[in-house]
Formats: sequence, structure tokens, C-alpha cells
Amino acid sequence: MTSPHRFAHESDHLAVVRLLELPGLGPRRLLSMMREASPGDLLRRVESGRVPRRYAEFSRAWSATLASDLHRRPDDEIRDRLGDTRVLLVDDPDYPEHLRRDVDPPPALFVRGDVERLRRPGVAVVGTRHATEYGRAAASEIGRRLATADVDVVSGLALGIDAAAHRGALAVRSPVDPLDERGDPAVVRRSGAPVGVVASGLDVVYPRANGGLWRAVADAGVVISEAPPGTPPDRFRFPLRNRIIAALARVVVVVESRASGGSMITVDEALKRGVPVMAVPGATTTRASEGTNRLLRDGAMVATSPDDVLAVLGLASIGADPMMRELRVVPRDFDAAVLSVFAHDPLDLDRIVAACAPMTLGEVALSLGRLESWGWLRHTSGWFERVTITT
Amino acid sequence: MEDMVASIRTASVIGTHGAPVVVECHIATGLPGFSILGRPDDVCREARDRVRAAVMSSGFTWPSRRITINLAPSTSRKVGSGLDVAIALAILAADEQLDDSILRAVDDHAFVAELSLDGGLRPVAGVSPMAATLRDRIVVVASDNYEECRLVEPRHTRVACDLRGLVAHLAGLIPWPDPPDPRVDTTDVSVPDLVDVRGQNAARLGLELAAAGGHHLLLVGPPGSGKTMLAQRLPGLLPRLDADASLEATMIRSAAGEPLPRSGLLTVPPIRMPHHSMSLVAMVGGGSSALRPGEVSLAHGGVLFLDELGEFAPSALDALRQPLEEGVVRLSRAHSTAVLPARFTLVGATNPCPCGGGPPGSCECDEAALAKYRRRFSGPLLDRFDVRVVAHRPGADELLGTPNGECTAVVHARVMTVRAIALERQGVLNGRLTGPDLDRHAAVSTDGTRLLRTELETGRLTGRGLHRIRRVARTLADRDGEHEEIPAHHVAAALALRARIASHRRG
Repeated sequence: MTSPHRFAHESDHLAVVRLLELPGLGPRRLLSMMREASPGDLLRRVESGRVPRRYAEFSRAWSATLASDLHRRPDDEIRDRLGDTRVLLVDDPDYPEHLRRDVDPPPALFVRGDVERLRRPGVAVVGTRHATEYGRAAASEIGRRLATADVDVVSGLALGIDAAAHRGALAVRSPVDPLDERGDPAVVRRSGAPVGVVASGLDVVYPRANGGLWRAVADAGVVISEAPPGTPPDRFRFPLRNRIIAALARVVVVVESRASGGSMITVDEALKRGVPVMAVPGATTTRASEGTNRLLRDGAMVATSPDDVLAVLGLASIGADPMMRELRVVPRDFDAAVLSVFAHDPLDLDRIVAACAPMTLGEVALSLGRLESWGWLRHTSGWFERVTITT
Repeated sequence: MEDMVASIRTASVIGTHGAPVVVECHIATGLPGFSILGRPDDVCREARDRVRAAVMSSGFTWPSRRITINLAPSTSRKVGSGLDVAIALAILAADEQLDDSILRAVDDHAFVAELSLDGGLRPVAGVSPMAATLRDRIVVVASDNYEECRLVEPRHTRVACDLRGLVAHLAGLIPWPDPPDPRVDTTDVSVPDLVDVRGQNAARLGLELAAAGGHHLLLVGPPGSGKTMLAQRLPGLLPRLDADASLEATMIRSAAGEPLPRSGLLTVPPIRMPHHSMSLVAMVGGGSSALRPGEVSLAHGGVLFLDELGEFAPSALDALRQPLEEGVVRLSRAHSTAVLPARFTLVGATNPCPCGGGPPGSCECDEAALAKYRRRFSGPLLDRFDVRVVAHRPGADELLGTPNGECTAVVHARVMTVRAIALERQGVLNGRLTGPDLDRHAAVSTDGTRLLRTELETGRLTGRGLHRIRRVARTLADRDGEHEEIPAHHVAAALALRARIASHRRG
């Protein structure tokens, strides 16, 4: 870095894309190279074979890439691919300051959405992709309450907990008042937004099931990646992505996690950075809560409700919670009896029918159908789960 | 010496049907030789050496002349070693080693047995279908084949121990030996009982519906949830085989060379559980020139259980289509064709996903693995399974505390009632209702229709799925004595029982 705030040229953006495509040139190595020269200069050096001795081991691999069609593609192709994606080099004035000061900052960020959202740290809400209905409800509620309290919700746009947290945050801004289609900026400013940190290139939606959510997060908040457009969701990129989530957070809340997995990597990264870690307790019998319960045992802070998270942020007393109104049909008689059988654990049909005796299978099934259509239950392949909140 | 011709009766088997065969022998002067005409297969061709050894070790002379055996009709394939005795007798007759009295007696008889090198008679596979084509004759078999042969009621069944004795019996020198003592099964044919199954009410109901409605059943459950145990209890719920079906099943088994029950007759619906590594030929039959029946035919009248459905070769599963539609399997080979019976209840079992699954939140599979898993199950095959139930790994409560469920006898009685209702109303079981018949005989009440419409509109039910649900709901309603319109709660029950394979994970 020649100076802390250097306005990069577009050629540097294109060069950084090409540099990131070189094998073995990870974020840390590229960052240290970028301390010596701008990406444009670096690329020219690499192309002409004037590589510092400590990178000599890569030069052969690089020369293959440099000779490839990928590398030789014209700049315009990269420009097309970038589209309206913003490129923030680490010395760009818009590059988030707290991320720049991180132990391991990404050399470049690719951004879609509102860059302003990155100026202040948010709260990371993360967890397993194999979530239960209980975990989804908790994540969604925490996301919603954080956004209501003007805290940005950082997560990884994965299935399960990540998606639920993002959806919770999105619920605060929509629906927009029909009389004020554009939204009063003062009001909009006061609510937090979802911040999605992804591992693949911004144009490679993964998992594909989350395509709609991906766009919604970019529209309402911001989606970032340190990988250039077109980068596939390689396995090794996910742990790297998790360090960015930790670096962007004031607090990391783990909603549901297994004993090992991506969320645990995020926790490790958070601990490395001194970011407080909170965990939502779950049933000791549920696999999805194994990791979170272990975190609690090991001394993580307990998040039994969104208020606990807000309290850690010192926001507990801000405003009254505009409680979600219960919009679902309130079950009565038979239906209430059937619903009362459900706690947090998913139940199979046998157990429900046994608990509802002397109701017959048919009667219970009718009731389950009604409860599902009203949004109280979810049926997945023989298992029924209670849905706590609809967002 | 004058040329001599003799002819002896026997039979061969193609598919599950016997075919009468006449063994003709011609002995002529010339270079010593022995040839068999009339399309023998390898085993049958080897009769040359077996018969020569047996004839010589029985104290007869082997004619050192030119021997020609013709197996008539000469266009159809002859298989197996059951023709040995007839060939030996034809040679002896043509060589004038037998008296006139024997030659006259032989005309009334047919011979179905293999010869050992020392002249003994050995049992062969497929005796019942073969004897069935020789009903107007006295059939001579090895003593181990006696019970089976008698099942098809030929004019008379006789046994003999060896070739020497057989000739003596035919000549009237020694009386025919007494048939072996009838072997009665001392132990009742043991079918596993439903009472052994703890909990698993949904899966139990699935079995009952499959038996009562003739629905094919898919059991979806993690390893250790007792899918195999459940499937093994289905034959006990199906109707016992009646006399014709019994005989048919026995003949199929016999033709396939499978061991028969001690009493000779199969009375309990069979269950076949082929491993997923099986070949296409083993599944549908064919293979040897005998067109040996495959698993689909061996399961005729009973249950074909395919565990780990997704692991079977796609070609093997594809071949199930014809038997499922027509109840028969047609084998065509270069020189022979056969139509084998193959009507069975298909029971498939599979894990819900590659990792085995379990309650929501415990699956380990990523989307790619799930998509790959789904692709293993072709839509047309899955469409065959009307009833798809989840089998859960039983918890400690079920294993220890739960009182026993109903036993097979109780459920079987209900199954028989429901089957009778369906057959009286529409002439077929509910599982075979399609198109207009479904509208006529499985009309759904207004409330039930509303339920179905919601499911269709939310995309959780497809058009094909709708028919399946209606058929299952029909059986559920029949079971509860609702024989007219199907009430809503039976539709709801049919919907709640549904299981899916590798369902999409929610975002």
C-alpha cells in the first residue's frame, strides 16, 4: 500500500480479477504483494516473469494459467461479468475500515447492493444448513428484532439458519407502505439490513434454491464476496468466507450448529478476533443443537431470546418491540388439542396419533392438514414440526 | 442285422410350461457312434455319456453300432437331464435287449428322471410342469420327485430306484416299489407374525392397505427402522393361495429348480427378496435355453421385495414395467418364446436420503447428493407405489413399553373383508382402479375434494399423486365400512401417510 487511501484505477480492478484467478495466490499472499505494488503493476510483473524469488515455486503454475484462454480474454469480458458489481480494493476509501484493520482482510471485495451498509459492523447470525423448524424460527426472530433495532444482520446466505436470519431481517423493511412506495429515507435509515457474505462469485448463486433470497438481500442490503465473478463455490472458500463474517460482526450469534461445521469455524474466527460469541440453547437430543449446547457449556453467552442479543449490544431498551401480530387462524377444540401435543421436537405420525388418543388417524390427519394450511405445522416426509413464527 | 427304431415318452420344460417329448432311437450298422438330434441343450447333450455309463453299469450291453437319437418334435429346444431314462430305454429297445412285454408296457408310461453313472434314478427340476403334460400316462420319476409329480395328478405315478430295477418292474418280474411315505409338514409353514412389530403404526397400516387394496408399497426409512421385517409380514396378510394358484406357484418354483416345501405344495404366498446386485435376467427370467423363471415369476401370487430400491440397476427396474401392467412377463429368445405368470405385490424399501436421514435437522446430505439420489428413482417406477409410508427407527418407549399391536390373523381377516368389498363393487382390487373407474368407484366427498384441491394448488400434489391418494383413500374408507363416497378424513389420512424420497431442503 503506497498510501492508505489511494483511488484505484479501473485497470487495477481488472488486474485484481486476473490475479485472483492465479492458482495458489490466496487472499493473504495477494495482500502482501499488494503492499508492494498496485494490482496493475503486479499483473505486469507476473506476466513478464519478474516475480520475486519467494513466489518462484508458483511461477510454473502461473505460466500455464497466463497462457490459458481464461487469462487472455479481453478486458471487456471481465467488465461484462462485473456488470454493476463494485470492486473495493483494500486501500479504497470505501473499503470498510473495521475490515481493513482485521488480521486477515480480503485484498479485494466484490460488492452488490448498498456499500454504505458495510461502514459499521453488524451482528452475525449463523448456524447449520440442517436446521430444525425451531432453529429457523429463532434465527428469523433474532434477525427481525436486530433489524428493527437498526442493527445489520450478517450471515452467509446458506440454507437453513442463514436464510432464516436474512429473511427475518428482510421482513422489517417489507412490506413497504403502499402510499409511500419509495420509502421515507429517515425511516429506512433506522432499520438494519441483511448483509450476505458469500464464498462463490457474486454471479454464481449457491445454493441455487436461495436465488430469490440472494437478490432480495442485494436489493435491501448488500451481498459481498472476496472471489471475483464466475468463481465456483469451491469447498475451501467457505471457511475463508466465515472469517469475513466474523470480521464484520460485533457479536456472533450461533442459532443451531452441529458439533462441527461451518458455524464452528466462524466461532473460532470470532474468538481469534475477540468478538463475543452467543449461542441459542436447544434440546440435548437434537443433533442440530449439539454444537450450540457445547458452546454454552464452554462459556458462550446464552441467547434465549432476541432481547439477550440486544442487551449484549447495549440496545435492550431501545424502543418497544413492534410485536408481530398473530395472523394465523387460532386453532380450537380438536385442532388445539392436536397442536398442544407439539413442543419443539419434530414428531412422527405414529406419536401424534398415540398422543391424541382416542382420536382416529383420520381425525388427527384432518386436524394436521388444517394446522398445516394455517401455518402452525410443517409436514416433511412423515415428520411434523411446529412453526413458531411466520415471517 | 435289421435296422431298429423305438420311441419312448418323456417331457422337457420351457419357461414354466412342460412340453411332451418323444425320444426316438435308430440303431444302424456302420461305424460306432452316438448322436442326439432335436435341439438338445448342453446338459441334454451330455446324456450321451451319462446314458452309456448307466446302461453298461446296469448289466446291459452298449450297442457298438451307429446310434441316432431324435427328440421329437425336433424344432423345440430340449433342456435338462430329465430325458436320460427315456433315452436309455429307447436305446435298449432299439437294440432288442427288451422283451416284447416290456415294449408293450412302455407305451403307457412316460419317464422323467436323470441317470447317475451307476444306473440310479435321480430327481430333476420342473417335474410338476412336465408331468402336467403327461397326464394321460403313467409317469415314472425318482422317488424324491414323487410328491411333486402327484400334485398334477397324472394317470398314475410310479417310482423306481435304478435302470435295472425299472426294466424288471416294466417286465412284471418285480412289483413296482411302494411310493415313499407322504411327507407332511409337521411344523406349520411359519410366516412371521405382525405381533412382533413394535410401534410402527403407520408402516403397519401401510402393509394392511397394500394387502387389502392390492397397492404396491414403498417403505421409506433410515437403516434399522425394520423395513425388511415389515415386508416379511406382508405374505401373511395376503389371501392364502387357492388350489390353482398353489399349483401354479409350485410349478414355477419347480421349473426354476428352487427347493419346494416338504409337502411339495406351496400354499403360503411367496416372498422374494432379490439382492440389488442381481442381473436383469435373474429378475425377469430367461438366460438358459430353458427360459428359467426369474424373480418376478417366483414372486407370482405373493410379494416381490426390493430392498435398497435405488441400488438396483435401472434396467432391472425398468423390466418390472410389463409384469406390473400385465401380470405376465414375455420372454423372447432367438428360437423360443415363453409367457410366464408374474403378478405380485411390489414392496420397495429405501433410505429417505443417502445418509439415512432421520428427523428434520439430522440429515447430512448436501443438495447435490440429494439431487443425485432422486435421479436414481425413475418417475414411472415411483408412480407404481400407491402407498408410501415412513418407517421410523423405533424409540426406547416403543421397544419396551408399548403394548403389542394386532396380530397377523386379525389384520388378515380385515384384509379379506376389504378385498371382498372391492371385488364385488368393481371386479378388481382398489389398487387397479384407473381413469373412469376411479371416478365411478372412488368418488370423493365435497370436503375431501376441497382438501385435494388445496394440495394441488399449493403444488404439493401432482396429477398422478392425486390418483394414488384417491385409490389409497378408497381402501381406507372400505376398511372403515364407508363404501359410498370417500369421506374427508380418509383423504386426509391418505395425505398424512405420504413419504418422500430425498425431499428438497428448504432455503
